[in-house]
Amino acid sequence: MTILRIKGVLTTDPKVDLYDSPSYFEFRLTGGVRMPFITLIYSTLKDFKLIIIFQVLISITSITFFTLTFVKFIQKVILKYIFILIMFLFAISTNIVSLDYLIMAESLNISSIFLLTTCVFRLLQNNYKYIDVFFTTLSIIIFAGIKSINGILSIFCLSILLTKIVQVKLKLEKNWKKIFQSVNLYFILFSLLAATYVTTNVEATPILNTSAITNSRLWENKNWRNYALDQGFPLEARNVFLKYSNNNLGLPPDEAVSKLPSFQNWYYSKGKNFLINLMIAKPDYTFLAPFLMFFYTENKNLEGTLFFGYSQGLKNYFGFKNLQFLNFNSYDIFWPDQRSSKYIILGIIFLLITIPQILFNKIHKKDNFVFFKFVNTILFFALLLSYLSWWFGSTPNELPRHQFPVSVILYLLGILNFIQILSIIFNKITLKHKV
Amino acid sequence: MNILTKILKYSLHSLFLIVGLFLIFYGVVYLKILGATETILKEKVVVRFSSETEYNVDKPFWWILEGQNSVLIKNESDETHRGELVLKVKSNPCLIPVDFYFGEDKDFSNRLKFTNLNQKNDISISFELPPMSDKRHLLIVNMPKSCKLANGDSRQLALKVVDFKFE
Repeated sequence: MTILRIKGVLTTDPKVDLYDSPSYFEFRLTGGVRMPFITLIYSTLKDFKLIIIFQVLISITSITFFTLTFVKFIQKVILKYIFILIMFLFAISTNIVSLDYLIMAESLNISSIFLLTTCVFRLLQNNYKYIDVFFTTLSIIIFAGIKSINGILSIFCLSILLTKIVQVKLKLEKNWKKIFQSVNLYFILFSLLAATYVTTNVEATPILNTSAITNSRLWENKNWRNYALDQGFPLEARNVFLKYSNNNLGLPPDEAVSKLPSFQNWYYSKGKNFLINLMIAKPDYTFLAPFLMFFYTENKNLEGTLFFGYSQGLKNYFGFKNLQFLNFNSYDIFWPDQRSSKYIILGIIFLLITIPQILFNKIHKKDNFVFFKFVNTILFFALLLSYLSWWFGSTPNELPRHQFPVSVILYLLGILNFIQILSIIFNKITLKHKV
Repeated sequence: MNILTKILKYSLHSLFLIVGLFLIFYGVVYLKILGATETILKEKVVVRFSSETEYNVDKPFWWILEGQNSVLIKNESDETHRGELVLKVKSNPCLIPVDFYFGEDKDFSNRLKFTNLNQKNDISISFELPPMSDKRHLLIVNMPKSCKLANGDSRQLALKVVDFKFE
């Protein structure tokens, strides 16, 4: 995998997004559009080629770390090989490999997810050992420093982690001094993250997102549209959006709207909290629409839902082609080219994630218990991340990009559960033979 | 584990199970077997003629010249699109009847001869395009005599595509 991917980045040019990429080179601890961790890396490395080499090295390291951690957990040798093979195919699939070339946050974001999920698994497996607490927190900080939405999620992650640590340590040690020390260490790390998050100014995107979400999503439903108009959303902003959508006038429609004086007046007077007020006023929009958009719009299919976002991958979004390394074509069994097949694969992933817990829940072996706990924890945070991205960042066009990290998490959980099912089946067969 | 947590856990797992089954059913039956698409053909399939786009005021048109021409039909979505591209063609400025052939590659499955020059003629080209693919259709015209224009345009204008639509 290392040879294939390093050869790939050495022989392929970086892919620059003229609109988004430049902002990643503006490192500012306070202010700026992007999170400080990613801008620090980009502004330090500066050179596009160096950045993509760095990205591929981090990606390979994080996937290897993930694979080796779970290989240790798998007991049967044959399953270890099957797991390594699947992970190898996943790591060289077009959707993952293509991220290496992008001068955007996507590659490091996916690498941080591999790192974070592995750390969480080790944390649960080793019952909150201090060293695992430290590395999990560190991985959360790295994850938070890459995308603003990750930063918001990290606050939830760390709060829950802190509560769990106190709970577990209380059960284990019953020694308040030791617990206080560990919590103290944790508090320092937590403060560091909070400082990172608070010093980050993501002012440039909310105004764009408010314009984009209102025009692209809310306008599709009469009820939501009326709410926006009642809240003072200027009709002129809608007309400008349509004008720039239907003609190439040199600006993306959302940006054209965000530069409009009447829209700016509305946004800075009462539009800043518009999306949050909408979520409170329309709970069905908040909780049901992300998965059931087809009930709310005339578009009676899954486009615009989170299912669509999970299943799409980034190949079409960025116009990636299947890549060729050493006369070997990369391909996508996880995100196939045909949309219908993408939904089928996603359906299978959902079943794989659920079936072991329904069928094998009664097997109370420690390992199964830890594994299911890991799956449910990651799933919970993945869904939270998914909702946060949909509420504050995803217009229909952006869904595949914003939901891709969640998609990767779901597919990884699917792979791990597949191995877990095989493992349980193998164990049952072995037991029967012994009897 | 208390009963409430158990109920919540089983409800969520059942929901995931139902969603998984629904997605498989949706992909297999609705999209694959019934052939439904989520994307709209007219928005995702584009056409490019071998000749440049010209405008009559602000109405675009394309000339099909004597000899070999082509029309590229490109599917920019991740779904298979099937349909017919209907070209509305008019005669050349000299009103000379022409022989018109079209098809994929050199295997011309269709052969049309245009003689009725006072009306618009429709040429239907069927296509089936897998995701992110394109197909080039050749349009070949034979003219029995040349059509020279007084305005100095030296091209051998054979047919004029005045409009196209998908069916």
